[in-house]
Amino acid sequence: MVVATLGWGSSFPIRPGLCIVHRVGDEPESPDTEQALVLRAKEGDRKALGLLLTRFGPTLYRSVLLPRLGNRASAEQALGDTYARVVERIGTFEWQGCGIYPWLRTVAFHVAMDLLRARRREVLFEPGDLEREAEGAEQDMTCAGLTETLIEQNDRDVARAKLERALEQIHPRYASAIRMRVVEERAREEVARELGVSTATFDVVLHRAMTALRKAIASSDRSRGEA
Amino acid sequence: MSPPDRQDENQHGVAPGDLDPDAPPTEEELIASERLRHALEEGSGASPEWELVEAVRAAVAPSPIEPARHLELVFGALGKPRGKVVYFAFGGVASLAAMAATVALVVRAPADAPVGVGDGAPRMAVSRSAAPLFPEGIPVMGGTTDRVERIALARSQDWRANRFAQWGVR
Repeated sequence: MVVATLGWGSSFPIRPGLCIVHRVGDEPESPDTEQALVLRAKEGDRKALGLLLTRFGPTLYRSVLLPRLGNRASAEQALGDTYARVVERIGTFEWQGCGIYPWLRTVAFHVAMDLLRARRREVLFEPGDLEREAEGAEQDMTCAGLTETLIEQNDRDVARAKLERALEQIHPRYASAIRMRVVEERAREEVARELGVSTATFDVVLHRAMTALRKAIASSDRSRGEA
Repeated sequence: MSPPDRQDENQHGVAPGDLDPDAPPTEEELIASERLRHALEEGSGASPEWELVEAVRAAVAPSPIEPARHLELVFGALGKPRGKVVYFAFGGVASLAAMAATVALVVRAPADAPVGVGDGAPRMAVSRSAAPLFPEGIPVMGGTTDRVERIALARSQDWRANRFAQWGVR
């Protein structure tokens, strides 16, 4: 039987046959503890590194990787690749007083950038966007008063703003269709009624809306590239 | 962003819906809208529109990673062997351990054989009821401490006797 001990309030369900997880409730969530774990991880302590990944990985996934890569499978792959790079390079990390999260985030941006370059899926972000974000993330590592929560919030705001800018560029009726049906996940019939059309016509409107959104994203990327 | 799908556009690169959202749809638009409707209802699909739906939802309301999947990723990264040398070394050690365990299983005495039974083996005390220690009977109330002490004394004598038997003192 595999016994996994995880800390910092990780709440993993106990699944028979998979593992037993014990919470380490006594470990306070403080920079000192984090620094101690980082030190141990740099010396090759896999358990310490596992605790750090367990603590920060879900935030990386939810605020950096998933919004930028656009789907669960790619984001999970990116998180796995990020962990592999962290395992390889943890020895090079230098503690600067603001924790390990900014460094992990920079690694995640680079991994996501590589994945975006290698694939052809419909997403909101271009590799160039992530390149700029990665550069910004490297500056954030100088601890300019940014907490992990603020960085996380900022990363999620960037993704939402990217979508909002694209929606502003398309026909307001298209933007409404996308907001109600795709973002708010309201029922097809309800949105059709709201827009004053039949459900069959709404299907066409939504398809056109998505096509228009895709063009808006592509054109804003092109104009940024030319600039 | 991949190049836009141009199948709905005319020779000027303008789709019917670009200028008027309620313009009559083309045959291709009808097929594509039906495909998107199905994908939205089923929560999965393979069209570029569905990929964009997923991307929009991931940007607005990203869902958390499943804890079990996350654990897999953590353990996958931490447990990854570094290079072929480590891989073969680990594999070799694991194989030797497996062979040793097999040999141990084969040569070990049957688990249900009583300890101390057999030619030349020392006679040892075995598990048994504590009732003979109380010929006067066990009262319903009281005397618990005394009974526990009497059992402990008897069993510690058994234990010492077994140790002497094992050492060959008796």
